[in-house]
Amino acid sequence: MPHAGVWVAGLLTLVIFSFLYRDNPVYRTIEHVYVGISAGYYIAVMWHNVLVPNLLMPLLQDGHWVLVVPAALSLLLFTRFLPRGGWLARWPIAIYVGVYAAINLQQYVQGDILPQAQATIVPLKTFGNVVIVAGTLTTLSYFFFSREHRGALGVSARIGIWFLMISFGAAFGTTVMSRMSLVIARAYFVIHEWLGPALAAMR
Amino acid sequence: MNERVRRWIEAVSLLDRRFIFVAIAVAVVAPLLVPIGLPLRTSREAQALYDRVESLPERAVVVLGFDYDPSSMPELAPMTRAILDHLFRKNLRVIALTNYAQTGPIAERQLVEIAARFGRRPGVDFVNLGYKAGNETVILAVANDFRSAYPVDHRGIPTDSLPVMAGVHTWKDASLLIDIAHGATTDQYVRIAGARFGLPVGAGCTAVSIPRYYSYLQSGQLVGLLGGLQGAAEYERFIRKPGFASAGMDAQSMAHLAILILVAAGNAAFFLSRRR
Amino acid sequence: MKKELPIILCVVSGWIVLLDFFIPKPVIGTLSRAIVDWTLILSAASFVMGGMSVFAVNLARVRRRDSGARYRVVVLVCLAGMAGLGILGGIGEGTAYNWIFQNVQVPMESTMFSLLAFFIASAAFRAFRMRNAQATVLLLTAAVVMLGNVPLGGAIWSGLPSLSSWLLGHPSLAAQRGLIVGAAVGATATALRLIVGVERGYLGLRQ
Repeated sequence: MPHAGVWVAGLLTLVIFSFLYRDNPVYRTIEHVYVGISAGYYIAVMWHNVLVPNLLMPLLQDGHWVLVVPAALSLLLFTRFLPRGGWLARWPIAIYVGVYAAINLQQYVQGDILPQAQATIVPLKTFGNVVIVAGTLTTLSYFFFSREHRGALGVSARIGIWFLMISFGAAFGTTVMSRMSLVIARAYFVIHEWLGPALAAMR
Repeated sequence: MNERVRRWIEAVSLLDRRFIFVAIAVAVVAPLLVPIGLPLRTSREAQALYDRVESLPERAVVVLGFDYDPSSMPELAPMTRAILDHLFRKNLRVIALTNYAQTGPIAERQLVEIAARFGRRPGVDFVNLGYKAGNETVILAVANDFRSAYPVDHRGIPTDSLPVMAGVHTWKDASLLIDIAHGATTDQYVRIAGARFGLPVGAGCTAVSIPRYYSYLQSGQLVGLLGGLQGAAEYERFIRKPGFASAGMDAQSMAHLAILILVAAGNAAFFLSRRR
Repeated sequence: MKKELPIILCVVSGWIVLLDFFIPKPVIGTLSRAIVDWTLILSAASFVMGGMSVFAVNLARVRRRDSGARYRVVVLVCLAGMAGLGILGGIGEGTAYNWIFQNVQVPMESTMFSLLAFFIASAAFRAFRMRNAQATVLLLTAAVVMLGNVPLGGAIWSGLPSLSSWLLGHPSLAAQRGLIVGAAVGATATALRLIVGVERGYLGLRQ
């Protein structure tokens, strides 16, 4: 017989699927349970996985006093809840934004622009390579909005749209694939992990 | 005849969406109850990932990113399990980490269960470093030392005291990073751990991300790719252990067929009504 | 103080991390690593703030007795309960927190997202029409990829998986590359504006 957790998971699955028939109070309640549990989950995980090992323990046990700075900055984030002084939360946000700007500046140039451009410089010996080069350039030209799409740029941008349509079609196909996998997993759970074993145990 | 066509168009345009839901449910459930056994093909990009793992010497360090949450577990958990099976069978050292708050405990269960099959021990053969917030900043912190981002592992044991971490300090000490992800973390690993620190990166992604990652495959920034449930089924086949992904592929096929039939019916009604 | 200091903090912290990349000096490296480690802590603190914000918003609605207030009470109880269980009782295997996560939160989230499959099917049936040549290309590509990427495609026609793979690996790849490079150029430009103090939108002030 499946354990209590499987029964809870199974019943919750059925309640959520009941929304497909129509919205109902039980579904609504469960939906709000989900929101509450998720938010509560995050708070506890941040506490145990980051704030305690990366801040409190090194600060209080090992005496890394420099960590007073991020501790103070973290507390400033919570000034947003105060009627006055909410502007103090801008300080930690500013540091956060500055650090990510610096990281992005490096990672996009070094990790995307240069290697992707390099990978597009290929010998035009095969039809596939011609497609890759032409498609990349025309797609980029479609997103070039500094000039009106007329003349050569207009022709290029219009060709770019066709490449985008193929890519969006592929993306739609793969999105359907993803979503269907989710249903398959839930159906598999209900049949093979919950009801199947439960019925077998009853016999 | 005309009257019949008119009625058909009307029926299609007025069809209650719940009939569509039932059609999809039947397409999914029927093959799970009565498997068809359609033959599975394998792709070059999945084979490349398997071959890369296969080529690693014993005790080499593989970093495994558990970068997904329950919303995409059906696609990504099966491929994680298959890859873990392969890593542990080959006696590679596994360093697991996640950028998703919900995945620390999910990773722990999978690691413990699959490691036990091969007698691999926590702290010696594998470690779950768990979750840290910050994505790119965590990747950069690891470039300094794993220990600065992860002073303790998921169980609260000091990382420095773990035998599995002996000699492992930065990305440069790992042989391969495989990120199983449903979001942008693979891109971040490719751009920072790969491009900046030279670590080979492989990926397992949800089907949604497949089109995007072909670009990284062609540029050589990804050494291999598993895409969606199909990718998971392919890896299960490589390791000769069919699991949930393999069992789900018939249902996946039938669900796609059902959608295409629905789209075709919708278009047929659309063209007939336009002609009239 | 309210405007200038945040901009200075943003520019200085950004430049320290950026310079670490170009100038391998120990002083810059130490500073940069410290700031990166601090950001990690700030990220976690902002998640906690987000959770508390959810609590505050729902509490205010309950106090005002807005419509659906009883559902808001459910949110408050579950949020406080889960956070309390986790912080006080621990989050590891064998704890109540972990049991609720594995048996309540995981199946709920999986099932919630699986509902999308039904709605995507319904939407495709009603709206996915071959209205013009571009829409037709989009639909045909979708059909090839949907069939070619599952065993059924190969069973119908052995060339379908190869065709799907070629579409993904050439024309689709080219468009995706255009999107990746375009987005990267945009992100780089924004980062540059931030790091020189021109972009100030994040402060919530008028430019």
